Amino acid sequence: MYRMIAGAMLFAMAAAPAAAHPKLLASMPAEGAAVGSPAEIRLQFSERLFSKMSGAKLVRADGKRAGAVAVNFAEDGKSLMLVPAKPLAAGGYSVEWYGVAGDTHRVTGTVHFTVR
Amino acid sequence: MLTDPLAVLLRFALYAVLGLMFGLLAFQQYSPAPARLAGRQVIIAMAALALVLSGSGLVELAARMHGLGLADVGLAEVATILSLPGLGTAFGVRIAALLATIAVMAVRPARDRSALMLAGVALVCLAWQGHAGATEGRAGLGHLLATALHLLAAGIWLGALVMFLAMTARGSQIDRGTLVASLKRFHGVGSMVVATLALTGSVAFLMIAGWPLPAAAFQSPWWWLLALKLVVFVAMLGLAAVNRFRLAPGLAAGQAHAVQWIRCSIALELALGVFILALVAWLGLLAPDPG
Repeated sequence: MYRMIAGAMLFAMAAAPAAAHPKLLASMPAEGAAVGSPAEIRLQFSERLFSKMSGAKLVRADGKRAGAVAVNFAEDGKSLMLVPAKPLAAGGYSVEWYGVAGDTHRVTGTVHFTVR
Repeated sequence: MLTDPLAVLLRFALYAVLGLMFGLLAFQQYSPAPARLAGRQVIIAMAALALVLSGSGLVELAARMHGLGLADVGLAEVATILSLPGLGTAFGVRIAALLATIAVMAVRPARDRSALMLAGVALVCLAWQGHAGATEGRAGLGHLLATALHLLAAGIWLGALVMFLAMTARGSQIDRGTLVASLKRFHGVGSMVVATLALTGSVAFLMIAGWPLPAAAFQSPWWWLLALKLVVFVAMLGLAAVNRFRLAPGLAAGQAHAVQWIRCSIALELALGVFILALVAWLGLLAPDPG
């Protein structure tokens, strides 16, 4: 009995905490960066997102959508890639993303960058 | 802080109805009290209410996860939720288990074990709607198992409190001997319930918060609500101990006013239990880290 209890507690202590709301860990380009036209914009999240309820759009500084952009998830469900069909013109851009993970909490955010 | 009051309310109602339904059916298994106190009609009504709440919960969840208003949720959004691994499956299984509970109760007595098992399945399915459903891999299975046992134990406690309140109510036809015998039976069951709650609660806490405790502990409402839950749990334990070691022996010895005292302590314990359910309904939607 005591062994079972100790086993359960050790199991719980060894497990990585994984019940946080999903968070954006990093982005490429990074927030506030000034870069050449990126072939791909990549967002890295802390949790596996449900692809059916998560996504992103690329918006220009004037608030309009930045042309055709393919949005895909990496196989691990934690990375979101935006691939513009054509090179991006110089100017300010924002990536408006939204995501839902297993804890059912919907999170949203924006990453800004500039194309030189 | 309370960003989704409707979600909290629906979760609270589901915990209460499903937990109580399982607890009432469990009580029929270990108590000598007459079954008419929580007969088939009561169980059928509770299962039907749980179905309505589950349907509402599904629409609310679809709206919240898609970032839509309730009125904008269509079949496509609901189907998306139902297609999710784990969470969606649990919804489907819960609804099927509730329908089966109604079907069984339509033809079988409330002491029937299959109804108890179906109600247990419906209750356990709630485990996926919270932190346990979000933990991945083998740890996720352990977390789900701990949460499932936690839900079942809490349901047994809740059902017993409601039954004892009914048995000690003014005008109750239950004789003192049956009440004493029922209390005695519950004392054994209650010890198991408390041990299960303490162990599975600790496991779930460690899996959500992480060990060693993060530096940001107590910097989000999740920690304070959990601490409040613990304090209320200890208060319930205190009341249960008074009941077991003072009031129940007094009742058995034929002391005057013993039934009234027991009724008061059970009513207070039940109020604290309901408060814990409300805290849990809220806690499951919060994250421990302040970010």
